Amino acid sequence: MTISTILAKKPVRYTLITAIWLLVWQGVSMLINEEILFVSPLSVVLTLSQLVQEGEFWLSLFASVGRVFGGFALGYVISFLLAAVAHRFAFFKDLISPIISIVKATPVASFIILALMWIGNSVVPVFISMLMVIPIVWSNTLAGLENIDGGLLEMAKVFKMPTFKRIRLIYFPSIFPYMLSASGSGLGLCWKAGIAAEVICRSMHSIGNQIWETKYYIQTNEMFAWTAVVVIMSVIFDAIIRKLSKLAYKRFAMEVGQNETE
Amino acid sequence: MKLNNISVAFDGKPILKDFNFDFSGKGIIAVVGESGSGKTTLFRVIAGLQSVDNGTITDIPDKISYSFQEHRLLPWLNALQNVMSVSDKKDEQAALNLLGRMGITPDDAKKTPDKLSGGMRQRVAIARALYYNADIYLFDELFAGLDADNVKIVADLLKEKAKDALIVVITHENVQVLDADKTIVMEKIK
Repeated sequence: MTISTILAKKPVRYTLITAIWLLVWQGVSMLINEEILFVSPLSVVLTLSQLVQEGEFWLSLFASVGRVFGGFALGYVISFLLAAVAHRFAFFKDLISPIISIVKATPVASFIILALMWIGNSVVPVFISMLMVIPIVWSNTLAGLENIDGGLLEMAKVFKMPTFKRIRLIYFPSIFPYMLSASGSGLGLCWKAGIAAEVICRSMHSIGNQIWETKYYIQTNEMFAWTAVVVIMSVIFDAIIRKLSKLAYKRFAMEVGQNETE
Repeated sequence: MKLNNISVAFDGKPILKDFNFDFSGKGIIAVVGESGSGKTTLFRVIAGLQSVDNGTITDIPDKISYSFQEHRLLPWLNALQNVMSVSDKKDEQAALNLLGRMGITPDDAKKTPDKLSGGMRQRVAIARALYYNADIYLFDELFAGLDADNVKIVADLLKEKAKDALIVVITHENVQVLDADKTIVMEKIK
């Protein structure tokens, strides 16, 4: 067995890549040799193993997941609906586009401070996560809708396909890759901005508040541990969404024939 | 379906001018003519995809089937699913039989269009059009990309169908194989 055939196996490849980066991380921390500045991976694992034993860890974790994911879902649905209407009515598209551009260009910190003045500090992370996902889903949905093959729509018209069937067999599969890409990049942004909002707002029972406290008490190991939690959560949720979306795609768009439901 | 004095122009250039024809009854009608003479435009008018500048269309049938020049198969569905996608019928065996007669094996029927040759895609599109129960069947460039054996097979299938419906075919070649009841010769409008 050659090295390339061994590396062709995904589990082996990913384990090796993870090991390489952990070694690099360990090497850098050994080089700096100041745990307060740069924590070793071993120290992060030890800190995490202590944190998971505390009730507050799980409370903060679930509350942050709820806020970030809630904002993401809300933003996703709102921007999808806005884009669908914008695709149908050009005036609506022109009306909404400047707002989307402003949301895209405004520094997230400005929105966090403003939102803090307008709404309660536990809702700000939800609002910010929602805001982050809106421009991405808006532009991806529009791009998806604009790239639908007109020839297929004409075919559906000739064969008098009912509206739901057209959505299921043409619209949904056509925009699916765009929506999947939007959820990947949108969710990543939601985590970044949502946790930043929690840090600034010091939301009760939140990962952001835990990170703020590590800064206050100069607990670099805990800061690294909480950051690792955010990264792990982001990866897990991205994988779950991708898996569920692909299952929905197969179930919804690929069923023609015996199991067809209209 | 009757087309009365139909005129269609694109950017001021007339494509169809005072076109009259009665597309009723059963049988096969062949539409021939040089490129740009308005054959596909005529099909699009019949299918309700092209509005007319002048003229009237009467006795429009309830269902029209159309095999497009560019196949227009759904790329994410396999051949069998593509055939079945246009109808509420859920008769998988009938769809497989139709594909089988076109030389598409059950294994090939499970392939998506990108895994099929151009000729096979053409046959799947024809099968899809035939699977749909319609009063008028339109086939644009019917024999394009088909070898002699498949031309014969498709022509036989169409003749069979022509006993119960009206088949209208655009073709540049093999017109005689179809044994058409009528032929419309289209000419470029000067």
